[in-house]
Amino acid sequence: MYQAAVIGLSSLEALAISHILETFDNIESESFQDFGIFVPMSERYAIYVVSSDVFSANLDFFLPKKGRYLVVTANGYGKDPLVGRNDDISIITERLGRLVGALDCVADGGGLSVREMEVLRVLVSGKTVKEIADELCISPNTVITHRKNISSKLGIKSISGLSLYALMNGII
Amino acid sequence: MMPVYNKDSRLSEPLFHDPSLIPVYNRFGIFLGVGDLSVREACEVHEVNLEFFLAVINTYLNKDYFPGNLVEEIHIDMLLDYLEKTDSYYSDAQLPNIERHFNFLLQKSVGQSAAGSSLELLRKFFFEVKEEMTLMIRNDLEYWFPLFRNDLPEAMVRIEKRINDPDSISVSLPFNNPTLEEKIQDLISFFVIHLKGDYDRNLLVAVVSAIYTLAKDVRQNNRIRDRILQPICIRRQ
Repeated sequence: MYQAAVIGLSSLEALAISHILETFDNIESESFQDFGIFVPMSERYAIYVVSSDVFSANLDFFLPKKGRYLVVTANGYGKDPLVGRNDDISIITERLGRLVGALDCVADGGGLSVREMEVLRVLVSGKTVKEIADELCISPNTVITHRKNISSKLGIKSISGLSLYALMNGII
Repeated sequence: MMPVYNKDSRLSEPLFHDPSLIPVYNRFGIFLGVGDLSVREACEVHEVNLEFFLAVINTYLNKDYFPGNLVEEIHIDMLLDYLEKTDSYYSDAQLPNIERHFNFLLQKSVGQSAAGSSLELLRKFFFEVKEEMTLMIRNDLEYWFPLFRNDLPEAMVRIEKRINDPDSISVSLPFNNPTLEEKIQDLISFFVIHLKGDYDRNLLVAVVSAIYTLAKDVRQNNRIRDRILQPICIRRQ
């Protein structure tokens, strides 16, 4: 089961988005009016549907999570990761469906989850455990646990080995 | 349960158990065609220290074996001579062998763009492993082994310093150093789990077998460093 966060949308928009999200089998959603309230709990959420204002004001948080967010704008311009609030319902549903579908997308042969791929991408950038934890808004112990799981799934322990894997599989 | 060999064991027995011991025997000047001699007889013929020979082959073969008080009978120079021969075997035989097979495999993969580029990346990773091994060997021959031979107390001071503050001494430790083993094992994982594309299967087997042999030899000789070299250094301090 994955958790989705809907952030900064009006009550009606949030209700509509949550309703669509919960038609997918493995999704539960929660709405936040305010990004500040969401942040301490952000570790729980696998995907985000966010207003353009909140997105722009918090690029540091969202940009590293490429593939895991949808930005609601006045006009979607027909391109991921944007969706227009006045777009046809079929387009909105399709965009949300792609966002949800990406959660189960794993690298070939690796079996890594979306979260693990995200941790791997930051891990091989040379950052310390604390820096990774701060960037991903998770605890250092969680970073260490993710690293152990990644190494166990891939059969690769060294940082240079993990970097090579990330390079070979388009994660970096 | 792994057997523990003793002075009355036939010299040939361990070799039947694990042929990867052949280069280990060679480092003692014992070559194939060992006949029917016991370990004790063979050590007499080849002028090899019996306790040292048994400590090395049992530690090499048996992950649960610890030489214990046998290290009292082992002079550090004997062990350093053995480890120098091991280092030479890596640099003169095993690493060039892997590189040669890798190059053949890559030549045969030219024209398969995705496959070739994966292999090229793996070969770069192998070069990283080779560089790390070369550095380890240089550290042995130019730093640690001369220090062990000429000033063991100073060597132990530096080892302790390095353990407590890794930034204080840039040279990696001569034992308790699993980094190289991990990298070689990672290289094997890439071939076994993550390889994509079609390759010349015979050449692939040759490359993977050579890397696997290296991984095993490094792992088992690291055991000798940890269970014989380290205790000798501590006791003789």
